[in-house]
Amino acid sequence: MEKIKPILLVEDNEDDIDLSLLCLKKNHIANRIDVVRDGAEAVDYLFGLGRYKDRDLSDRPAVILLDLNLPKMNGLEVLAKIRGTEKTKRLPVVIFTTSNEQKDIAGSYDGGANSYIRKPVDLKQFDEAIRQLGLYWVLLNEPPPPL
Amino acid sequence: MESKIISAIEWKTLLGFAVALCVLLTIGTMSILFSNQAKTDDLWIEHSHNVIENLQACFLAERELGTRAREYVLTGEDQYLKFYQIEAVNLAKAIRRVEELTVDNPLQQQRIHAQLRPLIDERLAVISRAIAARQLAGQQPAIAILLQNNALDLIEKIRKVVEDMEQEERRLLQVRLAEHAQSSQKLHTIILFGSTTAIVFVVMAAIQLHRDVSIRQSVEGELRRSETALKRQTEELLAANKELESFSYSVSHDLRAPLRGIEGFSELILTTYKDRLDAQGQGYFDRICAAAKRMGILIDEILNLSRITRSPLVIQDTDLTLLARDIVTDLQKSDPARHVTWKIPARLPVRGDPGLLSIALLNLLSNAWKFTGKQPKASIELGHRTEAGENVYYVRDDGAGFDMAYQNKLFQAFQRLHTTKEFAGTGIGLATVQRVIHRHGGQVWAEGRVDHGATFFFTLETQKGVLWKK
Repeated sequence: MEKIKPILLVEDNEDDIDLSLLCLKKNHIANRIDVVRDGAEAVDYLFGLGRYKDRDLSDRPAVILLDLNLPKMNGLEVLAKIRGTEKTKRLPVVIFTTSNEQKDIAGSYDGGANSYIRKPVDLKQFDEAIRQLGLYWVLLNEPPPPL
Repeated sequence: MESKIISAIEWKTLLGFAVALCVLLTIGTMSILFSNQAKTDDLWIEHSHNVIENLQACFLAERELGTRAREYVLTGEDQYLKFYQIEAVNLAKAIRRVEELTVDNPLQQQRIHAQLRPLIDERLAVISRAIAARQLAGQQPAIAILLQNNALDLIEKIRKVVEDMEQEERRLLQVRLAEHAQSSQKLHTIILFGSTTAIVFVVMAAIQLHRDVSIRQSVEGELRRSETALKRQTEELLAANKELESFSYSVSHDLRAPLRGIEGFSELILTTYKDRLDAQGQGYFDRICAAAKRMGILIDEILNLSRITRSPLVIQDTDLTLLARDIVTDLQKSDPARHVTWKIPARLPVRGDPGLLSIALLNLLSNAWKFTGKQPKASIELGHRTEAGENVYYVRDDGAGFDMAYQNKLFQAFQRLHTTKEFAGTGIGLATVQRVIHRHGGQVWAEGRVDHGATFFFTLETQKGVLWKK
């Protein structure tokens, strides 16, 4: 049986991390959730750099939930790095952010994001968003073949 | 404005040069006229001299003629008779010449015909008689004839007439000389005065020209300074806009994130620790959640409002009726049980940004829908009328209305005339409408009365002068 792929959550807000983890758990999404707290760490994680230098790079995430407003490197820069690198260019990336600025939405799609979800303030709606995200990207979506 | 000033100034310069040119042309023309006049004057003066000369010739010939006659009478020698005859011819010639020359002068002519000729004829007759007497009767009778009283008188009379005529001619000569002097004086005056005037105008025009140039230079300098200032202001404005944009962005992102924390964890407490909370505690957490949600909505609305100002305006042909129909359909779907009579014209064409106008109409029609919500039947109208040549559009309802005393608060963000309990809302809708209308260069205002409905009017600058055709 194929190994269950992790979900990579790129998020700097501890509240959002906890709420996301809670909602994922509540919705019985059993995947391992790897959390990184800024853009640079996300890049280290994905490319096995820095403190992730011993990480098994074949253990690729089923989906990356990527916030836009991040310390060090913002979400769009991380996205550009992912799409610009041969090994990671097919990884599903879902922009998961508070912003609904046209500029951000357009920029994300232009940068090759697979989806754009705005985080609701209301926990019930937030929970529903996480549930559907998990259902779709973990269960329904056929992952890309590795390069 | 500035170009008008410049052209007005240039007109003055041109006028100065034009006047100088006119004056010079006049002087030229008058000089030609006056010099023609002077030529005529000269001719007349010469004429006078001529007459005088001939009169003198008459006088001389007459005297010579007398002398020759006396010599003949005294000597009886034929050569004197011949001399006498030559002089008689000379005299006749001179008189004829004078007669010709004074043909324009009746007085002189009259003197010639009435006095000079008869006198001369008479004198010639006396002399002829004396000559005849010399030839037939000898010296003494001939001398007697010549010395007769009347014969001597005759000479005096002739001389007197010739003198008179000469005097007359001299008088005329004086007059003509005086006229000549006067007209050349006049010409001098005109040339002097005209040249002075022309010089003055040319100098004035030159001064004006100099002034024009310096004014133009200063205006241009001013213009350049304004341009620089404008450029700087535009840059500042762009910078401010950019700052506003990043501010809005951070509001959108950073202000909403903590709200999710507040709301989310309150909700979690409510669900996870419900059995450990009494009703009051649960009520408090409910209120925290509600407040956080409301703040989330407020933030979104502020962002929408700022987006209306920031998004570029795309002006095109738009039909307000089409925009309104979609909104009305949605409103009616949201509460199918309500009885609302919609009055919307078949078409309402305007020029404007359809996206923004749709937002404005959505707010106006939703307001009308909301504030008629407590009555069993309602009527909402979208319409148009022409006021002082300007197209005015309006949305009218027969709902709760408002107190005109508060109309200045209507369009301010977060200002509400009703409590949220009476009518839900954030107080951002009309501020949004106002921004949309202002971005179109139009005006928005309202009329209403408590419990008698409200009407919201707006104009669109893009629509000015284009009267709506039915």
